[in-house]
Amino acid sequence: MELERNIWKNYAELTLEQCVEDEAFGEYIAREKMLAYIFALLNNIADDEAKIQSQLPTRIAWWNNKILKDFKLEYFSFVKVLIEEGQDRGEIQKRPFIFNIYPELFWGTLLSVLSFWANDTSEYKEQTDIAVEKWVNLLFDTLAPNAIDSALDLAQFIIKQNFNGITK
Amino acid sequence: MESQSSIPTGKVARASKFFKAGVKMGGNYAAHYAKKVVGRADREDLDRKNADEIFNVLSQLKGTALKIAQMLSVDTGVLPKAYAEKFASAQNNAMKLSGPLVMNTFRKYTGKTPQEIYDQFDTEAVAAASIGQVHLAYKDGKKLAVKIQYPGVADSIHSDINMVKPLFLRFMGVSEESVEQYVDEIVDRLIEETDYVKELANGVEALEVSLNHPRIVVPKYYPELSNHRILTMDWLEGQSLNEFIKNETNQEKRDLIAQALVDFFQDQVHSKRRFHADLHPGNFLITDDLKLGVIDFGCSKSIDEDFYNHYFSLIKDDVLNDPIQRKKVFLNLDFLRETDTAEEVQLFTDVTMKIIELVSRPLRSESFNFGDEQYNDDLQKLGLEINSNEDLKTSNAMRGSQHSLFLHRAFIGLFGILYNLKSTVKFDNTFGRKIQLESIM
Repeated sequence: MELERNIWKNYAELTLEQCVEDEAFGEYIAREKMLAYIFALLNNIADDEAKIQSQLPTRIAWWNNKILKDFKLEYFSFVKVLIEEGQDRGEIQKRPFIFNIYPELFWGTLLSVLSFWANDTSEYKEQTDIAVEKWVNLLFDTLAPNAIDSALDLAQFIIKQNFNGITK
Repeated sequence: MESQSSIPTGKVARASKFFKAGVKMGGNYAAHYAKKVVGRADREDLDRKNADEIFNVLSQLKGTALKIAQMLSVDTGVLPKAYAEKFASAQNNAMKLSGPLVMNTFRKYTGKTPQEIYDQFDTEAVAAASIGQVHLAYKDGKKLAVKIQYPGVADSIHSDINMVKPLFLRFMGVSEESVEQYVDEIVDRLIEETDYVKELANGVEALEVSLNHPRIVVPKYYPELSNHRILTMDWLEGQSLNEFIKNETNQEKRDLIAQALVDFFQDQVHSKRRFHADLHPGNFLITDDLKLGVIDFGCSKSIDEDFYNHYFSLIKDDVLNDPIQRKKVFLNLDFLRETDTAEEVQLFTDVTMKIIELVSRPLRSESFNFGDEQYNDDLQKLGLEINSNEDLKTSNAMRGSQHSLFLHRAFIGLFGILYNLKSTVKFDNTFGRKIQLESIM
């Protein structure tokens, strides 16, 4: 158990290291950084696929797995920086109450990708490549400023107006 | 990257698109018959409505589904020819690979990053192709075009065709068995097209043929920088053939280009028995020194000796005008079948003869002017005549060997380009003499 935990921790450290060393990575927007990170991670775990398959036979196993505990901590430290950067760039909207669970959404995205990867029998796991793009797009489209933010903004404005009694 | 989110991609999502088309088409037909009852049927109006409907649905697809739809609909005449161009522009709106996915593809197939392979590599694609995108790169002072295939294209071909097929069967009113051979042919070509190693071999052969044609340029391909999903070739500089068609006012120059295309295509067909089967303007460009650049050899078709001899023997009058010889050849090429009734033999012989007379007219003449509107009108008229012939709307009316599908497609493409160039060209009609009558017995 300890050993497997360490192996996963190493995957995370190695992946982050590779990303930081990659020249192109610095130029990417947050969405692309997320993609690059996942592709690098999948590349790193590819050699150990058989082993990982035997450790994690079902989808549920990904969610509750203690083996991933340290890996998750490493991943979160990356994700927190990424979220900040995404906010600065306007890619990610900070929303009251739910902002704190953003890292969990990133975690869910990664686990979904990993479980897809584990079940992908296509040549060179090409289907996983497509899945990664789609999951990351969904994640970032959800976090990007959208109609709900505009609606909340409008609601807030109207409530304030009423409160101040200006419209009366 | 944003373009991806709006395109339906899951099998279910795509299937639902087709279902939608089926329902709407059914609706249009219902309206048609309702009109018929009250005596205001307008067949042309109905066809146009349905064509719009089908096109709207199909053009939302991408990759191979779009290609299959395009081939089946335009080549079989389900959709009018005008939609071919619309389809071409729909293809240009295909998906785009993100920078990280480009990197990932390189790592998977070469173990290296593009920066390690080339001296310079632009992560931003310069052009989209139907199943991939093109990047600009430099190596050893050479400007290169690097084509990268979208992931999962080959995997989706079979499921795509299974979704496209029912719609067409229904619209054409033919049985599944009667289109099976054509569908297989399309699938074979598409699967080949997803193998860039195959395309490279086609390109190398085309380069060899081009050496006999001073006005043709084929890019050099680099096997050591290519694999099944990545293809590296010399960058060809020039204006697109469409721009040339639109802007070039000197007819002599237009004719030079047209003749070069004709000579090159014929040389491929007659000497290599393998030819560029995707002759649309997007696959050609015109260099500053007035040469025709030919790119994208993904869709190439090989024909065997037996098919070649029978097919091109039809250029010979002693075959075409001899009822016994002719019937043998028609049977071999599947224009006629052993099971045909006397009426069917008569019907399919008449129709085939009409098509051959018209389509081979340029090949039989000393020189032929494609700017001649009369010829274009005759082609259109024949098309209409065939489409409106009720006797040809039976379930066994799909005729012609599957090998002829892509040959016809190439001729349609070639004639289309020549018509747009309004050029006068000479076809080589000596090859027919080389076909021995014994070979088609």
